[in-house]
Formats: sequence, C-alpha cells, structure tokens
Amino acid sequence: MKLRQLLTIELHKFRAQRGTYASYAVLAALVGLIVWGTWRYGPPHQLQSALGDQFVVGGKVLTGPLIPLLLLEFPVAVHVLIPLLIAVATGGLVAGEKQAGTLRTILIRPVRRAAVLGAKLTAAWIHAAGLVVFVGVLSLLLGYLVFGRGDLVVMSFHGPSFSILAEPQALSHLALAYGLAVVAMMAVASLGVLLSVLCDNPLTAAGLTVAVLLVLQSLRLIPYFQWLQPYLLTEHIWAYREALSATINWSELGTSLSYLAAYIAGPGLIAMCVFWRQDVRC
Amino acid sequence: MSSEAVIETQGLTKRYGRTWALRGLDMAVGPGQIYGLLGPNGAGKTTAIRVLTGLIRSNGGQARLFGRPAGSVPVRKRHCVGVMVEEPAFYGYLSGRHNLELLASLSGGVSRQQIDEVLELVGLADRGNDRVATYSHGMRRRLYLAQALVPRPELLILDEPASGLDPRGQVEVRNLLRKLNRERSVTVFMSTHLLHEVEELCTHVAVLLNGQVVAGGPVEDLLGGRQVRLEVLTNNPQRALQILRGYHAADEARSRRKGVEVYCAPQAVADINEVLVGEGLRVFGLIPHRETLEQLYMRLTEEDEATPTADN
Repeated sequence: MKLRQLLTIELHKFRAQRGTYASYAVLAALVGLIVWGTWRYGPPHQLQSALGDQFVVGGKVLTGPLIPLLLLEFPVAVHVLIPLLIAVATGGLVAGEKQAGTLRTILIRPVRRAAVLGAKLTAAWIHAAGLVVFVGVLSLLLGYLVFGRGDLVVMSFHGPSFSILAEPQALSHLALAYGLAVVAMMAVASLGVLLSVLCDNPLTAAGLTVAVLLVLQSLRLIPYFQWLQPYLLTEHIWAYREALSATINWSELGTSLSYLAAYIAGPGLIAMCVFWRQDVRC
Repeated sequence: MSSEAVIETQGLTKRYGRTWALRGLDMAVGPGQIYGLLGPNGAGKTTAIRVLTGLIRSNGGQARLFGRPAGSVPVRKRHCVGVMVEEPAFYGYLSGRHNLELLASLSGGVSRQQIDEVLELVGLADRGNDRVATYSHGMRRRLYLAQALVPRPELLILDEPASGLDPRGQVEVRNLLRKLNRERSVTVFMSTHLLHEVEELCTHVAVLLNGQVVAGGPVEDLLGGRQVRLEVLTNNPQRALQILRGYHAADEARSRRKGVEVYCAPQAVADINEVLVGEGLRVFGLIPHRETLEQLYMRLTEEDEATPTADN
C-alpha cells in the first residue's frame, strides 16, 4: 500500500516548508496577544458586563482555562485565520504541485491517483487538526502560566446568563470544543483540497476557498436565506460552542457533527472523482 | 494488437479543446529496441508520452504498455517503467538524494547503495547531498534521469533526455542508454529533436507530424536501406528522364541541372545503367546518395512547415 509512503512524503513536505512554521508563528502570536491583552485589560467586556453589578464571584475570573475559551470565542481565530492558513496550505497541495510540476513527478511513479489524493487529503486534515490543537494547547499553557489554575466562567450563547465550570469539567468541555473545532477545520481542509484539484494556481485555489467561506458566512446574515442556514458549513463550524455550555445539547451536537462529516467526505469524494480523470498537463 | 510489443498504439487520438494533438497515432515498440520519436514542435511527441504514462487520457484509439491499456497498467508492472516527461520538477528544499529516496519509496524502496549507484551513473555523486534548489538546469535533468532509473526499469520512456545538457552530458546520456539497452536489455522509447542522437543511438524511429506517424521503422531501412537517391549523368538527359519515368524500378524521376535524379533500390542501379545503354544513351556517371536522417526529416517536414500545429 502506497498511501503510507505518500502520506510520509506529504507530511515531510509540510515539515520542510517555511510556510508551515509561519502559520504556527502567526497563531502563536495571536495567542500571545490575547494573553497579553487579557492580562492588561482584564476579562473580556461581555464577561465583565454580565458579571458586573449583579454577582459577587468568589475566587478569580481570569484563570488558565479562560484563554483557550477566548480563542474559540474570538471569531478571527476559528472563522478567519485558521481557515485562511488551511486554504493556503491546501492550495499548495495539488494546485501548487501542478504548477511546480512535482505532481507530474509523483504521478509518473507506480502509484494510484486515489492513493496520491488520499494522502494529500489526510495530510490536509492532519495539518488542520494540528493548527487547532496547537492553538488550544498553547493557549492553555500560556493561560496557566500567566493566570494560574482555577474554574471557568462560561457565557451562554443562548441568552444573558453564565455558568461556572469546575476546572476538571472545564478542561473536558474545552477538549470537546477543540475536538469539534478540529472536525470543522477538517471540513474546511476538504473544501480547500477540492478547489485545489480544480485550479492550476495555488493562490487562486486558496483565494477561492476563503471566498466560498465568506460567501457562506454572508448568507447567514441575509434573512431571505435563513432556510438555508441549517445546511451551511459555516453554520456548523460553530458547533464547538455547544460544548462550551454547562449543559450540552447532545442531539444538536450530533446533528452538527453529521453535517460536518458530510462536509468532510463530500468535497473529498468529489475531489477524488475529478482528480481520477483529470489531465495533468503542467 | 501485437502481444510482443512493449508499447503499442493504434489510432490514438487526443484533442486539446479544438486542436488535435494526436490524429490516429500508430506505432509499436518491441522489446530491446531503442525507439526514437522525431518530429517538429507541436507534432504530438510529448502528448503521446503523456498518454502512455497515464498523465492524460486519450480521446480515442488504444495505447498499451506490456499489452495492457496505458491507463490501467497494474502498479507492480509500472515498477518496471522509468519515465521522464517534460521539464524536471523536484522539491527544491530537499537534497537530490532525498528526492530520489522519497520517489524510490513509491516504487518499493531502494537501498542507499542503489541510490549511490544511480547518482554515480548520472554524474551527480558529488552533489547528491546538496539541495536541488542549488542545481543548474543540466543537473536537474540528470537527476530527472536518475529518478527514472530507480528501481531497475525494463522500459524507459524519455522525453528529450539529452535536452538542456552540455555536449559532454549529451554524449554521457547516449552512452548510458546504450549501455542499459545492451547490458540490461532495457527497452528505450524516447522523443528527441536531435537527429544525430537518433542516428547514433536508435534502432527504430518514427517521424511524427501533426499527430500522425509519417515515416517509421528500423533506422537503417529509413536511411537508404530501401532506396538511394541516384544522380544520372548522360549525353541526353531529356531522353533519360522519359525512359526512367517509364521504368518500374525507378521512383520520382526528375530533371536536375546536371542530369536526372531518381530514387531506386541500391541493387537497381546496374539495371538502370543497362536500360539507358540499351536505349542508346551514353552514361557518364551513376552517383548513388544515401539519404541522411536530416535530409529525410527535412523532406518529410518540408510540406508541413506552414501548417498550424497543436501545442505540444
């Protein structure tokens, strides 16, 4: 089976490329800025105003687990930055290799195209997962380092309320939330690989991936398309929020996971079919 | 289709948009042959190689490798095929050796010693550990040839293997291919623009024009094994032309400034002399010229010069 060797090659390329380290550096910088900003400013505005005059909280609000939570709530990270970094990486996976001619060098070896694309998809998923896990682990470590241990105050996404999760419970909720974010980013990676297969230029592929996500995000804001909302990828990227509630709605979570699974498999299968019959002329 | 052929195409067609790159390509490469594919830019040489290596799909006809359709040759059989098509492309941030190791791992892997041997063969032994990004174009082409040689191929499909190499490099590549063919019975199928390369190296050749083979066969046959151009000098060229136009063993008789020119089999020269003398002409000279590959190529491509062709 060549899949293992091909995957080794793909992962080796990720390791050898400066762009990969640049991606991690950007995310590390974002985590660092959020930790620094929180340390200087205090809890986020929403949390401060929710707690404000109405509650007296024993202990402290600023704790280590709060930082990974803030990263998830900060839309730029999960909804813009990580998808953008994934799009750039997946753009290079097929379109970039077509442009450089290295895809031809691989395809003239005794390998099946399905194995080649399967390895690329798997590498893209691993890369996507790696970025999310990196953000989660780094933010938690830095959070603990700067703010120390403690419980987690979680804002509700459904109304003006909040819950306090004990530290072990908070960590398990955060792990689940980051796990869901990993699944969501894998779906973004699948979309990126599909567009990379369809394009001959890595920048076009990356740009298109981001554009598709932005269009889907925009549809959420247009009332006419409300009926479409439950089916959109961008709707289910938010699934991790459910894991940040004190009481998790498992049914809703299951539905979102099913959609995300479809968004991972669907573009992957379409990419496979296109790639199988595609003329490689570059 | 012949069951013996290593490569065989029948009526192979390929179209890019409205442009036909291959218009019914027929050829057969037997085991142990060094088969050269000649043709001007846009004749369809690279397209033919792309189809044979499964990079693109044909629109019609058949292309077979080892008797199997080119797109569905079993992976274990494809281990026996070394390919270089178009420009070399490697991961520039890796060394030449590392690139070879990665690519060889897709063919079941080869030992470090085998990689060393191949690097030595292509003259990259002392630069194998340098990053490919630091290689010259010629060195990349050598590395490209090296990847086609791991693991040991039975068939080499090479797209202009000596292109971009300095004269010494070209000679080395020719010697290497000759050696592989002689010592390991490797079948070589190569496209080239270098006519002398074909004359020196190839056992068989096909001239491709507008996606079709216009001449093909053993090189010796094409280069006058079948016909020579005969210059006929007589006291009455007009009469000689009349006679030779009606003589079955002479082809394409035409008037030239110094006499008459015909194409005929080498053994027909004496017969032509006898016929002319028998008709009462005085024959001053019969000068046979064997056509060089260059002359053959120029003659075949002459009429085609102005015809628009497909992008290769």
